Amino acid sequence: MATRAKINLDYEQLLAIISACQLVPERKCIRLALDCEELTGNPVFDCLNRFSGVVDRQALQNSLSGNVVQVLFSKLPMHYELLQRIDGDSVVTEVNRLVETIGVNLVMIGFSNGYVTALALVLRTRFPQEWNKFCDFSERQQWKIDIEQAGTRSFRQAASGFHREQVQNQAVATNEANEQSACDSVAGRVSEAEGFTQPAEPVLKERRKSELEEEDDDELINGLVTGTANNTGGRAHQWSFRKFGLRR
Amino acid sequence: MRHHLKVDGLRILDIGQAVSPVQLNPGTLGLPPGLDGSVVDCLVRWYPRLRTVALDCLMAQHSLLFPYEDGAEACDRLETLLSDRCAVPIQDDTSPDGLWRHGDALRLELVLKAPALQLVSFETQPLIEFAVTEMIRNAYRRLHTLECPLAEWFFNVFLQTSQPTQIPLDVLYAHAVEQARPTPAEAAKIMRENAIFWKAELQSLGNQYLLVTVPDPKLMTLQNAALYQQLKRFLAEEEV
Repeated sequence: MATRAKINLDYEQLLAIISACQLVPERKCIRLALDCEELTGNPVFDCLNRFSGVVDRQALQNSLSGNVVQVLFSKLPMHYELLQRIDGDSVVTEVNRLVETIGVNLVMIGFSNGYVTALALVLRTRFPQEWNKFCDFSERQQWKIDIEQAGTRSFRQAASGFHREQVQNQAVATNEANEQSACDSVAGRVSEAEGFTQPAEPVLKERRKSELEEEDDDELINGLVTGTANNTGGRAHQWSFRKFGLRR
Repeated sequence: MRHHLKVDGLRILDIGQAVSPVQLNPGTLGLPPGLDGSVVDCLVRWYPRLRTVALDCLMAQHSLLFPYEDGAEACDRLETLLSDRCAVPIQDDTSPDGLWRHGDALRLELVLKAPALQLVSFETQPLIEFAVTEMIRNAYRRLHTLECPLAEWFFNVFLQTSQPTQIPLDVLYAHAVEQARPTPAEAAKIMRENAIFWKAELQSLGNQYLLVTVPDPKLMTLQNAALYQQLKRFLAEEEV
């Protein structure tokens, strides 16, 4: 009963959140996105959606530690203000609580599903205002949290953080749009000149570079998860530098 | 053909265990062959369909005994009986599996918290078969618990304990106040008016009499059988 009071959600609602946070591999998005396509841009939804992809790529077989969850947060392609103020341990605690409440092990809930749901529950209690906006957008009113119950302190923090994140996300979205338009224009010029329909070479190079970086991170996180991190490799050192804010 | 019948006394204590596992085909139910997600996700998505299947199974079995109760109205009544409106009080707090007593007896929580779920393989068919079977078992548990007080009442009606007296008031009054017994013919007439009760009552009195007077058990069995035949003849005279 204490667990339920903490989570403050009915069992059925909790199950609905778990199902909504299930990654659909064919669509590369969580199941909730299939119902509500207009959710993109909502900070809570973006956090969950991106985090599900990152966790799923790890192909987890065991539980994660708080440190690894923290690393996964940092691995997200966009830096979310909300996630920067969440520690991995709280997500791990929430996972354990979720397993206890539902009454089945993490394998049945699904490893990535469990961690994404736990993140959703942490976001719900830490940033109630954003969570309620997310519920409004996704038309899941029953998932809302009582803001007064959640506490006014976190409410104020969340409000300021949300504003900063919105600005940041808008800037990132603008950059992506500019990049996309540049790509389109370059590709259009190339196709007009040479009769090809492939994207321009500079854009392809940029994409390959980012993909390589993602692969590097995947290897390192896999090492952390399995406990076989290769500390002697060059890539590991590169990652360590980045972790501590140093340039390569 | 002979079948080996095995009865486990402990299993009989839980009426849910009397329900044999159902066999379902995911294709005919419109379910995909794969889980398409985790076990919990699959069960959550298909729960409304599985619930309908469980209710259909229950109604089909019920209409074997009561063919006139097979419509939507009966199904609504069944759902109400299984809902939180008809929760039954918990009598034994130490019982670990009493979750079906309150709330919706067909809810998914009971399926997920069933210990046997850990033994089910992660495939659609065994999973949905287990879920529907577990729902039906919980429905049986709830319905059997709901019918217990009614069954006790039926037993009391059978024993006629609900009647204030089995003898007409004027006969009882004449005996209690005026110390006047009815004639043998009047007594026989009163007993034949309520033959079922008096057959049991006279048998009981006859047994008490035999217990005191007949020391040999074999002889007592014979006397008892003779008494029963006499009772049948005595009470059936009027009917014939």
